[in-house]
Amino acid sequence: MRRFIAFLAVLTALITGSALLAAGAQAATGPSGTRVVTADRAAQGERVVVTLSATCPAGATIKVLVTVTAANDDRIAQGTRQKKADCTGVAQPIELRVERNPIGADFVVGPATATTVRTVCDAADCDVIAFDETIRIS
Amino acid sequence: MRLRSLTALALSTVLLTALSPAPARADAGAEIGLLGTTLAARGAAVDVNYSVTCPADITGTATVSVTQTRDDGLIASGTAIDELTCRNGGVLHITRVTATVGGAPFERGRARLTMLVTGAAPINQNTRLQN
Repeated sequence: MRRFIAFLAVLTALITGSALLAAGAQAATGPSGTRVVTADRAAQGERVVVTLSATCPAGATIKVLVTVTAANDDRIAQGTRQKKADCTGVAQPIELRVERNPIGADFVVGPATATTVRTVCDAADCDVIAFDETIRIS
Repeated sequence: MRLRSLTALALSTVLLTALSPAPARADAGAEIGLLGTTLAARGAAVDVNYSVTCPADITGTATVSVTQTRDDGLIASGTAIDELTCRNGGVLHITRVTATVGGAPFERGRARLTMLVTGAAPINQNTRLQN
């Protein structure tokens, strides 16, 4: 009986230890987020100036890769731009000049879709999160 | 005597293995259910709503492709890849498929949808893009 209780104690300790270890290993870089605040058409539709609001833990770094896609009559306008910043721990603006892909059309005023892929890294880890949102090019 | 015991043990092992029910396959049974396809940003993208039912937990990807021949003959198409986690039997998900820059915007009407989800049988079917 004593042996059985000892066995149970060792098993419990092992399971608890594994659970704690897993929680630690899965610890990410902390909460982060982005959203497009403004998207302004510039240079006759050659580009869109996007202002993001980004939030990430102080001490970490953030890289955002933004793709803006819009319909222009029967064609598609699209452009991609990326930028890095040091996180401050509070919401911070990041401005990107998104040039259009010359294969596609010019950007026009109206609805568009923006995909933001953010890579947030601290000393131990990196998180990569993609986010789609419908925006308006003004 | 010892040989007889060993033979009996071997026979029982073989019988137990042969008669016991087959274990469930870990990757079997996941299914994709298409719930709807909605135009976004004046056809710059399509939101694909779907469910995945998973008897066993899945961590993987969902690849979604939409292709449409528009009424004017132009082709609109796009592909998106999302990370997907299915736990506790099922998950609802939306993947936004953005139109390819060299093509046309999507419009209302019939389109072809293809989906590949880790651990599930692929689907390839017609769908109706709606506002």
